[in-house]
Amino acid sequence: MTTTNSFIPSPFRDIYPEGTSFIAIGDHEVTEHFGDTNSEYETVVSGGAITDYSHLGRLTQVGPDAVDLLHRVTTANIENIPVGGSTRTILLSDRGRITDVFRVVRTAEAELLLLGSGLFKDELIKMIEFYTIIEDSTLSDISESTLQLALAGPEAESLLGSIVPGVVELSEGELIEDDSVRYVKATADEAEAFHVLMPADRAVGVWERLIEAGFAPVGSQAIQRRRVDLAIPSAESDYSDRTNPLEVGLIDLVDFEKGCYVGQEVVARLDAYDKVQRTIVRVDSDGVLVSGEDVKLDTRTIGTVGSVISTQDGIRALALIRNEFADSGEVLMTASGSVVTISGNAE
Amino acid sequence: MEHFGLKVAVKGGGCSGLTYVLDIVEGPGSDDKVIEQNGIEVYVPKKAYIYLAGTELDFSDGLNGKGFVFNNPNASKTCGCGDSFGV
Repeated sequence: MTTTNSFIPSPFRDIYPEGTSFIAIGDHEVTEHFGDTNSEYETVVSGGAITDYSHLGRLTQVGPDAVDLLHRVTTANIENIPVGGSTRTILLSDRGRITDVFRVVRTAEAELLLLGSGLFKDELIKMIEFYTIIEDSTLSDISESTLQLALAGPEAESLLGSIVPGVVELSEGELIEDDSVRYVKATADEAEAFHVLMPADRAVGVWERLIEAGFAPVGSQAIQRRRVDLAIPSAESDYSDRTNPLEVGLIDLVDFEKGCYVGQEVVARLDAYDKVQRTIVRVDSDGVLVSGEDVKLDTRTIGTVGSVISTQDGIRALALIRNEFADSGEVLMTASGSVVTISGNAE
Repeated sequence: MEHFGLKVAVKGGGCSGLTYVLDIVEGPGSDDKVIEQNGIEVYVPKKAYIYLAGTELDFSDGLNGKGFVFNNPNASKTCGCGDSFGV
């Protein structure tokens, strides 16, 4: 196995096969691939895939004011989530920049589960605690006591349904609990089909049960490749506290009817006056692309490379490009001299 | 209500991050600072007090509307409608 040093080890390290490769995301060791990224990608596209998402952040927000608080500070309508439902939302800064993108699952009338990026978890906690002043609501970090898996691919629902029959009845965003394991059906704007949450001490048993049901393990590279195909931005490379949600294709997570939330005035102005300057696009290249690298037109910087993946046909990436240069077919160049061609956008 | 007062507080939310709370309540909460002026009791939760210290609560009756106005020296910015502020 390829290893990483000084990171929280993968909880499944002992049961993974020889040839498993790991990378570091934040302070966690994450499975990169199991030896054949192309075949793992094919599983994500046409089969049933399972991958470890334990490096992501998991919080609970509990108390009579929990729902009202998150409704007031984030972009989505949290009040309308029924018990057993969920929605994706964004906590913005008052300047309309992204603090974190996360899913809010309403597990009980006054209990919320927050599934975030992990990378921005500390900042998310800090800001929610800052906004909790007179509210009766307690935020807890359960990332260490729980683990998280993702299931992906068109066969995920039928495979999971063979061991948890209730999942086939779920609508997008809905939750079902079976033997202390929670299954949340993902929404169409995600690369995953289900998110699976469980107490940490159940993780290996749940993993083995899902493998027996027919899921094939895949690494983060295969999921990332699917995400880039679909132009879904990630916390690792595509958004941060320097981007607004509209330019990275997250407008569907903003409820323009709900009223005020932190950053609302900026986002409403960007939308109403069509002031969004950049857009996220897919680019292809035969050269080397590095996440974070500038994209140039002559000497002018007109964008930044985000998520980068390798395919049989070359290098593919997401990039944040100024609108006037973001048309499909546009040929641009990175700061290091690689030619990139825009091949699609988030729409 | 036999013993009532004006609760003035701050909660998270609004475009700039923090919004004012104004409510008539029956007596102070256990954690409220009580300020009496002109025969009216004002209750301020201790956690909100740091955001409100020095604030002048005024009443406006101008062309742009009628209502309470917070003149808060701690606010470094306010949103367009004035309902929320940042520190």
